[in-house]
Amino acid sequence: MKKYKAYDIITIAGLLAVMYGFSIATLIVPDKEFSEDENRYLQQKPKFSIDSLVKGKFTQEIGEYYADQIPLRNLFVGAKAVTEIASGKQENDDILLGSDGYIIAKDDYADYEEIDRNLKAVQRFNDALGEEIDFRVAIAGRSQDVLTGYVPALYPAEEVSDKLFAYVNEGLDGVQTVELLEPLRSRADAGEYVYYRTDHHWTTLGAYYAYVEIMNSYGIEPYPLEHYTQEKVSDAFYGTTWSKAGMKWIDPDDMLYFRWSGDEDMVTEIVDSGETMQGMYDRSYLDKKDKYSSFIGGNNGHVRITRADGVERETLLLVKDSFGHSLAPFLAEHFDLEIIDLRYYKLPLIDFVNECGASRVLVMYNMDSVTSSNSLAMLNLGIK
Amino acid sequence: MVFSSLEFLFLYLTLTLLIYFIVPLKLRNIVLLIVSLIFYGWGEPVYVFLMMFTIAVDYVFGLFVEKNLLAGNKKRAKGHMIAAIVINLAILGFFKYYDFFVSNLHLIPGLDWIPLLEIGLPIGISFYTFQALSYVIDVYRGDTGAQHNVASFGAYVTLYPQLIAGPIVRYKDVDDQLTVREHSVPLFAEGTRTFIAGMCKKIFFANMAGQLWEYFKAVPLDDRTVLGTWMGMICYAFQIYFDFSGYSDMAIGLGKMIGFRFLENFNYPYISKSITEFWRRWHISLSTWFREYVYIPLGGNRCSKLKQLRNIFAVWFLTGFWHGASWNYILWGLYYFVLLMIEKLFLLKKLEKAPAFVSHIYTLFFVLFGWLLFVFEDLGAGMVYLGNMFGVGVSGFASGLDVYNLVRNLGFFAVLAIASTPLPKKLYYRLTEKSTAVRYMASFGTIIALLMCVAYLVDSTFNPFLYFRF
Repeated sequence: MKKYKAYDIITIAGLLAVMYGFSIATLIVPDKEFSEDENRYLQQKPKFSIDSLVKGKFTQEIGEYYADQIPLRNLFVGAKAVTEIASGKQENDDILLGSDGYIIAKDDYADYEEIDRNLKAVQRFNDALGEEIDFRVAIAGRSQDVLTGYVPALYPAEEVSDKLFAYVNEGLDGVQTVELLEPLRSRADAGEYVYYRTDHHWTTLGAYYAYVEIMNSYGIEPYPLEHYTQEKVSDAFYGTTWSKAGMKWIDPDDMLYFRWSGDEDMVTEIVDSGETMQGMYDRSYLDKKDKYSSFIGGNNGHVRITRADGVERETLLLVKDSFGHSLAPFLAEHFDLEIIDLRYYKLPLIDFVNECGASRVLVMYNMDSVTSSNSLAMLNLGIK
Repeated sequence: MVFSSLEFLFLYLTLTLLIYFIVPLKLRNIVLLIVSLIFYGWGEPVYVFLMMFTIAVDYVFGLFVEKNLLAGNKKRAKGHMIAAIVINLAILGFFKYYDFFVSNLHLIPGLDWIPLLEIGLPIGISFYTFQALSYVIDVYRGDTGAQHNVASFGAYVTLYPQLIAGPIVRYKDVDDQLTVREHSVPLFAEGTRTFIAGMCKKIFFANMAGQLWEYFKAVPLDDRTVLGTWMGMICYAFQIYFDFSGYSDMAIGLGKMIGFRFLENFNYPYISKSITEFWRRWHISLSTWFREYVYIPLGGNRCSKLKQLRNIFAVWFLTGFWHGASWNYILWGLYYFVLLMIEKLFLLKKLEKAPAFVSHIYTLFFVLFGWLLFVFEDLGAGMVYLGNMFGVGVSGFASGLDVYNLVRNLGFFAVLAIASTPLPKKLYYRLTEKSTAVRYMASFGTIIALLMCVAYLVDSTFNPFLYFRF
C-alpha cells in the first residue's frame, strides 16, 4: 500500500471528523425548544410536505435547524464574538463593547422618514386633544444616548445622539415635552447605575430619575429617594443586549424594585385578558430570563393600576413602550393609571382619552421606538 | 444551496461524499448527476425540470452533430449546432432577459400592453448554459467527441461544485476526467485545503466586507461623507473579489475531492498594473469562454481594424450583459471596452514605463469605478454616490463615525489588502517546504479555520449570495 503523508491524513480526518461529528451529533442530541440565552424559540426539525418544498420553506428551515440545534451552539456564538473583539472591531453584531461591563446596542443612522411619520402623528394627536387635557411627551434616550461615557474609543455617541434628539425635538415643536436625556446622561456620567449593563432598558434607579423629571414638569413634588425601600430581586439578569452580543463573558445585571409603603395594595389589571394581580410586580418572571417583564406584568396592550380600596384619584393616561413598565410603579403612587402600549392596542386612542376620563396624557417612549417602529403613528387612528 | 452554509457542510456534503465513495466507480457519474440535481433544486425545485430539458437537448444535439460530422456532412452538423445554440440562448434569453426587453419596450408608446412575467431567475443559468454551449460547439469543431453516456453528460452540465457560480468549465477540459479520474488521498487533502481556504475568503473576508459596504451604502443622503463613500466602495471591491474567488476556490476544492481538476478562475486581479492585465486575472473562465466562442469565431484580430473593433465591442457588450439584465451591466461592459481600447492604442506602453505604483493606482482606481457602475442598478443612485465620493452633496469630508469605522477596521482592511496579493500563498509554500512541522501545524490550522467558519455561520446575520443576477 502506498504510504500517505501524515499531514494529508490529518487534514482529511479533521474535515471528516468535523463534518460527520457535527452532522451526527445534531441529529442525535435532543432538540432544544427554547434558547434562554437568546430568549427565542428555536427551529425544530422541519416537517416535509410537497407544498413547503416547492415554496422553498422546507429547505430554508433545514438551514435554520442546523444553525439553531447544532451542538455547542453557544460556544460557537461566543467564539465568534471573541474573534471579532480580538481583531479590534470593538463590536459584534452591532453591539458595542463598552467600558465598566457595559454592552450597548448601536444604531448609527436613523430612519428620518419613520421619525417624521411618528412625530406628525404626535402633532396631530396634540392638536386633536382638548385644551383641558394636559398632554406631554417624554422621549427617553437609548443606552447609546445615555451611556455616552462608556462607549468604545472613538465612537462618537454624543454626536450621533445629540443630532438625533435635536431633530426629534424640532419635530415636537409646539408640544409640551419633558427632557429625560440630559438628566439621565449626566447621572450615568457620574457613575450612577441608571441603565442596565446588558439590557436596553433603564434600571429602576433610571426610571426613578425619569419620574422625578416628569413630576417636576407637572409641578408636583416627587418623593425623594429615601422614601423607597430598595429590594434586590435578582443579581442574575441577562438582558436583551447580552442575548444579541454573543459576549458570554459579560456579567449579569442586578434588578431592584423600589418599594413604597402601600404598593402591595395596588391592583394591576391586565385589561386585554381580564386578569388582575395584587401589587405591581409579577414575580413569576424573576425565575425566567425575561426578568424585566415582572414590572406590571410585561407587554400588554392595556393595563390599569388603581388602589385596591377603591379610592379614586386623578387619572393619568400613560402611553408608553416597555420603558414605561418600570416607571409606572412610581407614578402609581400619585395617580390612577391607564397604561396603553400602541404596539398591541389597536383601537383609536383619541376615543379612549375621553372614555377613561384622564386629565393628563403622558406619551413616554424611548428613542428606539421613535426611530424604528410605527407605534407612535398609531396615535393617528380615529383622528379625522 | 450555497457552499458557505451549515446545511451544505453537515447534511449535503456528508451524505453525498459518503454515497459517492461507497458506490462502484462506474456508478459515480450517475450519483453525481442525481446529487447535483438535488443541489440545484434545493432552493427552487421546479427548475430541476428546466435543467433536465437543457441536458436532454444538448445531449441529443451533441450526438447529431457528431453523427453528421462522421458522415462527412459538415453542413448538417453546423445546422444542428446552430439549433442547439438557438435553443440554449432562447431559454437563457427568456428566463433572464425577457422582462428587461419588455420593460424597455414599454418606453415606446403603444407597447405597454406587453406583460412582464416577473419569473425568478433560475440560479446559475448563465453559467451552465455557457457550459452546455461550449460542449456542442467543441463537438462541432472536432475538439472533442460527443459524450454518449447521458449520465456522464448530465454530470458535466450539473456538476454541483461549479454549477451555480462557475468556474465555467469547457467540455474539452474535463472530457477525460468524466470517464477516468483520479481519486486519491493527496488530491482529496489538497481539495480540502482549497475548499476551506475558499470558505474562509467567503465568510471572513467577503461577508464582513459586504456588511460594511451595506452599512456605508445605507447612510442617509444627508449624512454621506467623502471618506465614508470611499470606504464603502473599497469594501464592495473586496466583497465581490473574495466572494467570487472564494466561491471558485470552494468549487475547485470540492472538485478535487471527487477527482476533478478545474482551471483557476482568479489570479490575484487586484495586483494588476493595467486593465488589460486585470481582465487576464479576473474571472478567467468567462473571458476564455468569450474569447473562444465569440471573439475568435468573429475573426478575432486577424481581420481589418474596423472588424477587430467590432469584435472587441461585441465581447464587452456581451460580457456586461451576461452579468445581469440591466443597463448598468451593459454600461459596465462598455466602460471596459473603452478602457481596453485606450490601453491598446497607447496607454499600455506608457504604463509599462511608468513606476509600478502609478500603474497599480491607475488600475485600482478604474476598477473601483467599474464596481460602482456594476453595483448600482439604479444609475441615478450610482451617480449620486459617485458625486459623494468627490465631495458633491456630502455633509463633510469625514464624520466621527467614519473615523471610528476606519480605525476599528484598519487591521481588517490590512488583512484584506494582503490577502488580495500572492504573498500569503508564497509564504505558505515557503514555510511548508522547509519544515514538516509547519505542515502539521497548517493541517491543524485548516481544521481550526473550518471550525471558525462554522462559528461565523452559526451566528450569521449576513451571508448573501451575489450571483442571483448572473
